[in-house]
Amino acid sequence: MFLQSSALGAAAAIAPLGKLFAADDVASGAPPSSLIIRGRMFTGGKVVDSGVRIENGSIVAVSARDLGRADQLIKLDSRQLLLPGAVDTHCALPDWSDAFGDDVEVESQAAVAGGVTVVCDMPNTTPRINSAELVRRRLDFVAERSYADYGISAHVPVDFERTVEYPEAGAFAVSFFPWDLRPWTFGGNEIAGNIRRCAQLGLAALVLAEEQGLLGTPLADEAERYAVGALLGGLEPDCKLRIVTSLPGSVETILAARKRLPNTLIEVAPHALLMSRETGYARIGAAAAHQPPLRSAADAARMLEFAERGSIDIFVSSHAAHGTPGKYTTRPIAGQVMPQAGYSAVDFAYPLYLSRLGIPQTCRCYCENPAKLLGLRKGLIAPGYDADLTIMEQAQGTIDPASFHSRGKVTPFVGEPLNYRVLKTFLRGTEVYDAVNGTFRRAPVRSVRAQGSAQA
Amino acid sequence: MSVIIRGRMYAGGKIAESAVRIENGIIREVSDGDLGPADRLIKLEPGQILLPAAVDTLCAMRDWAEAPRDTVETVSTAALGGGITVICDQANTAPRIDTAELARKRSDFIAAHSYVDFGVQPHPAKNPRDIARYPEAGAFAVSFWQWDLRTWNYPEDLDDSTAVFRRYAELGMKGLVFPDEMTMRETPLEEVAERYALDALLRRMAPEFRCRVFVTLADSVELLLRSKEKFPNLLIQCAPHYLLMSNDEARKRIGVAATHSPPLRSQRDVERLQELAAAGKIDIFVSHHTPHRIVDKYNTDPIPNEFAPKKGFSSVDFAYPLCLTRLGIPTTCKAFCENPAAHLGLKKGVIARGYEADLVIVEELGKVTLFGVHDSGRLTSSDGQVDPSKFRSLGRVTPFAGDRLKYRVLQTFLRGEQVYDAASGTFTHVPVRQVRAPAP
Repeated sequence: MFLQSSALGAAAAIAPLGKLFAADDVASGAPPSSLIIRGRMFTGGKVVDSGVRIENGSIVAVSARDLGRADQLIKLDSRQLLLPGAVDTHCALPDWSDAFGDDVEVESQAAVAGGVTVVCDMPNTTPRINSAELVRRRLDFVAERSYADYGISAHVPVDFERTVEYPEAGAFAVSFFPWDLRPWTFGGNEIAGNIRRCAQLGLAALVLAEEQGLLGTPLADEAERYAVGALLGGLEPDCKLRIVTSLPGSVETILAARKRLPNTLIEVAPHALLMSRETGYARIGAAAAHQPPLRSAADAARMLEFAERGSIDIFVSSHAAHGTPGKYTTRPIAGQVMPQAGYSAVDFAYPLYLSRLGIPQTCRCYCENPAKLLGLRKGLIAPGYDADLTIMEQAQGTIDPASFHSRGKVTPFVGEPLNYRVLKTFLRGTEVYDAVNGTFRRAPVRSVRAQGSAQA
Repeated sequence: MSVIIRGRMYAGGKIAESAVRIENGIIREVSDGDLGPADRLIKLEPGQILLPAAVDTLCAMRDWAEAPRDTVETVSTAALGGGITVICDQANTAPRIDTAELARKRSDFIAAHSYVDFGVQPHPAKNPRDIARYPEAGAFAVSFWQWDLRTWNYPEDLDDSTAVFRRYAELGMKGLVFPDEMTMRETPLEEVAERYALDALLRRMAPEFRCRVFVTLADSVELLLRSKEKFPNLLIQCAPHYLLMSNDEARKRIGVAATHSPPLRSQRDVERLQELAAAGKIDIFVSHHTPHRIVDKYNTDPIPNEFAPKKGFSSVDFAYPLCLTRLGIPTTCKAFCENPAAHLGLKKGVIARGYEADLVIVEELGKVTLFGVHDSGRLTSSDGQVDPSKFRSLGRVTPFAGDRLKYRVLQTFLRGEQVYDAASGTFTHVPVRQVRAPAP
């Protein structure tokens, strides 16, 4: 996968956006100033005192020694820490007709305020993104509003063969929702072939592996176990995918198949590692309903162990902002989890992971691994990488929905302590968020694209 | 060519002495009086009854890659030996019938090999462009198997089920639906899988779709009966192993081979279904003939993505006599002959003027009064029981093995031609016809 600039790329690709950035200094051709940040930073796998030199949005040098002159110098104080910006591969930016959804602008601001510089949208908007035309529309829509780089994931189209149109339309991935899978008892089905087809087209595949037919039944808690087993049974080594997992059994199953299926990655949300059903419901009642559901404290503890051991590949926010009324509704909506499933998370997911799992594990799973998956030169503080960075302050605080930039205020993590807070976020060297002044700056953003190997 | 058959027969809703005159394959007259001269006269002996031949709307003919399980020839001769003259094939052949091309290929293949009239009812077309080509390719109906139906909780905004039902109805095609949540198979929810799927089906059904719904539980039948006002074109279809055989009894008899999907039901469920059948509430009986090799039925090796053992029983050889034995002539002739023929748009299934002379002569075997001896004084033979070793079907496994039958088929006629004769064990191949979708 490669990044295609919305503002700087080939003329054809940016035609609809050109006017948007006409007044922007970057679009006018002026290079960003050079910048040096000095202080404690996570680079080369450890936290060290060093300096990073940024030119034209890229990190050109990382060194504790003299980095020469720059237009701007930032010196971190002893409580501050420079980290790579997070790459969130699963973060819904609703908008469109989702009445209580957040719009792309606010949601992406929440992301950069949370230290996240790439957000990969989910396709279950209204309307759902399940055609090349809708991918284009969504891409244009997000490009005009987002404060972070972004990726557009599409639904499985009605006629699967039409995924062939997705890469050119601008989708980087296809999301397989539970209803896109076959019942676990239906062997020899086409799902593995469809996942392989995605890889051939350079599209990442994300699978929300749950037995759709078991959701809303007394076996709902088992839905993931059934689906993961059936899914893995059908996969071939050349299938590339991420599987959303919330149960230690799923992680074990995937790890056990790792030799045969090296390209099957384990993706988890913060609530799968750090929140239990007991605590979630005690805190926010019916709004704790989720899909997959919150698990027992014992399951969450084992998931956390897996994460600590480095067995989890990718952390995501699984951000799904809903208006508070939607989270507490008891009005039955056919085919919907009720109340609406999903928590607001992108505001605090990065500091939360850092607080509970430490810097190396968090930066590996929330920055480096997802960036690598998407084919981005991001996620590390190293020469040649995009200067997507965040300055964190080590400070005691709590998760306070009132302070969220996201319009979704409901999370079972409400009141949880944090050891970090985001001070500044940089996207390719441009400061896009500053906590002190509470300001956002919209820099040119780029979209994650399908891997070029498909066209080769 | 004219034939007169004289004797006891089931006509006009009762069994009476009468005669039927057949010309060019059609019943010209049914009367106790003089029917004039004919090329052939058949006089039934005491204990023999003339019945309409059965019309089996669900019977797997296998063949192709599954020829070791059964072939069109073995199944269609087994059907004739069992008094059935029309078979509607199952779509789950290997390969499955899910394109217009395969529907045509299957039609041509069966036409060339079958001893009975037949219908082809493929899966929904894999390629939407094939839907409109189905009728012309020979498909009279479309079969929605468990996996062809949307999961009960499929997102409503994506659910195209009603539109799909409507589309087939517009083409003049009929439907067959197996409501059974596939996800719930072999889970603790298996017993309620039919209920989940049926509720969803009734939310999505298009009222104009003339559709057989295969159900296995009395609750399902009652739910469908309550829905008939809204969906007058739905027909309730059931098979002998749900009507007449409990899971406990089947396991006692054939062990692990009794595994089925949906599972055979409890004795209480079976009794309730029989009550409903006796009250005429079940529209269509089918053999649901699904033959497997014995080794596959007793296989307990887990095969990835396969059921072990294979599910389905052999039944076309005896389904009609079994239903006659257990449910009586009026109920069976209604649900296994008249109703399915009417559904298919065939002038068959009753002994009446203007109908095709698809007929069967059965022998009433009487009650067994002493071990091995009928009340007629004759020794029983295996003809008086379900005996898999005598099946013409290559599938030999059925939980009904050893069940006593009150009737055995002596002769079967297809459009007036004698196509089966038990005494000589001969079958005669005559031109067969295919059930077609009427022009919309």
